[in-house]
Formats: sequence, C-alpha cells, structure tokens
Amino acid sequence: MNSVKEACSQLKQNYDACFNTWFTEKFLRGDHSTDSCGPFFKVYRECVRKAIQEQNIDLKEIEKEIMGTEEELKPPGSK
Amino acid sequence: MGISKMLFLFPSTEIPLAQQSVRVKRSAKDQYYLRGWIRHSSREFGKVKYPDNFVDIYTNFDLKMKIWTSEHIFCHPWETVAQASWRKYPNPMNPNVVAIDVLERDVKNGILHSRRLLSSKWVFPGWARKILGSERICYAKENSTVDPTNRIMTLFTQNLTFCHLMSIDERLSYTAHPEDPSKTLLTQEAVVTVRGVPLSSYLEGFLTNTISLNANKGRQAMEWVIGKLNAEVHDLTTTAAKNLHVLTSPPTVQASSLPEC
Repeated sequence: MNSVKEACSQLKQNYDACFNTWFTEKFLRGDHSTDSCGPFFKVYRECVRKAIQEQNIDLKEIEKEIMGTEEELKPPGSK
Repeated sequence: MGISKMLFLFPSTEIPLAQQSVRVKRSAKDQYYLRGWIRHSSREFGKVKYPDNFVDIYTNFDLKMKIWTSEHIFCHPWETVAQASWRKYPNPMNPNVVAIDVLERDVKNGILHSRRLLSSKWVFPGWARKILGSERICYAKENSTVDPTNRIMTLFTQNLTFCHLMSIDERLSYTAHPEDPSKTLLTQEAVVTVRGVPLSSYLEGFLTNTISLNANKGRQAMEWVIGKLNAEVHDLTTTAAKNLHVLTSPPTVQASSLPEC
C-alpha cells in the first residue's frame, strides 16, 4: 500500500511491518506496553506531515472531532 | 412534521428502516439535529438486528441524505478480523483506495487509538461528470479504536470537505459475535449527504449502488485478506508440523463467495 506521497511509501512499509507484528504478538495477547515501533513511526509521520502540507490537505479538518460534539450540528464546510 | 414528533415515532432503541420515503419539512437547524440523532440512535446498533435497507430523508433545502445500514457475520474469530483490518489494503476488490497513512496512534487504558488519512480515487459516471468532473482524489479521515479485552474494534470514517460536494460518513464495528465467540459480527452504517447538487435519480442510484457494492467488496476484501493470513499461518504450521508430526488444516476462504455459517 502506498503513502500519500510516493517518497514516504518505503518508510510507511517499514512502520507497518513493525506495527503488524506488535499488534498480533503483543497487543492482542494482552501486552499493552507501548510498541517498540516509535523510531519507525517518528520518521514516517514526519514525511507524511510534510507531504500533507505540500498537497494542501487541510490538517485542521483532519484533526477536528465532529461527531459527538457541538460541531455535529453544523453543516459541513460552515465556519 | 417536526423533529420532536419524529422522536416520538421512533423510540430510541429502534429505527424503522422501511423502503418508504420520509418527507420532512424542517429548518436548516433541524436537519442537522436529525443527522446527529440518527447517529445517536445507531449506538444501540449492536442490540438490534437491521436488514439491509435505506431511509431517504428529503428536506426543503438542496440537501439530501441517504442512510444505509447493514450487518454481516464473518466465520472467523475477532482477533483474526482485527489483524486483517489493518492489512486490508491493497486488495483487488478496492482498487480505488490509492493510499493510507497513519497520522496518530497510541494506547490509552489498554485501548489502541489510531487516526488515519485515506486517499481514494473517485471516478464519476458519464452523466455526473458535468457536475463533478471525471475523477478526483478525495481524502477521508478515519478514527479507530481496538479494545482487545472486550473484543471490539470500531472505525469511523468521514471524508474531508476537500471534496465538498459530497459527505460520506461511515461507521464500522467489528465485535466478537455475542452467541458464538469463534465468529465476528460486523455492523455498518453509512450516511451520504450531497449538497447543492441537483440530484438526479441516476446519480442517487449510482451512489446507492456504489455504497452497497463497496460494502460487499469490503467484506470480500476482508475474506481475501483473512485467507492470506490463514495461508501464512498454514505455511508456518506446515513447517512446524513436519518437525512435530502434528497436522492442522485451517479452512481456505474463496474471495468470490461469502461463507455461510
């Protein structure tokens, strides 16, 4: 699976491989300690954030919670 | 009929999902309360069974919502389905999804919270192109939680107003089946809102069919991924079996048909 920017795809695959292993072998078996994928995630996430800025995807829109809050009652796209 | 009357008609634990259209004249404020209310009611989802059905809600503005709900059983344990969900893309059934990125992720109180950005390519049929263009990449944000203690995984996807003509909100919930812990129950709800576009019945039909088709493809995609996961396990097990003289044969799942169980 690709990333939003081609340049981040390899970083994404590295992170995904780490996460999938942790999810299956630790998290689902009751080990809730933080995954050791931190370093992979950090560098991958930085790449994605830059790509989002470059492509003008509205990050605030992504981070805003709508359902279950007051925002749910406003039409989409209104201020 | 105002919103308060509608609430009396629909008790909070069930929504009558029949094929009739419900014509409601309401103010701009009411229609968003309606959307919020239906969201709220759907939290009772796991306790009531709903057949595949549509509810059309017309308003006196150029805003049309279509609400679609569905339920499905996977003949696989919840843990398998949860793993498959993270590995769902790419798959041959959903070629439109071109990228997925994790933006945030952490574990709080034993529950995994993730936030992802989905990029998908929408291609519009001939008659819709004049209004919407031939194709565009649309982005959606997905919030998810995984609770391994209670065996519940929820995913909530909203498309961003980058593609502002249309809003599609989807909620999925994978839970261990209450009657058979070796199976997984999937409940889905999608709300499509189209704004400012004079909806012809063709475009409406296209959206309806696409969502229904995609939901079916989504389920087939999950079966396909689970098949791959099981094959991986089988390969590992076969290797181990050669040394341990223990034979196991997990079921193989055909992607083209859903299992009856």
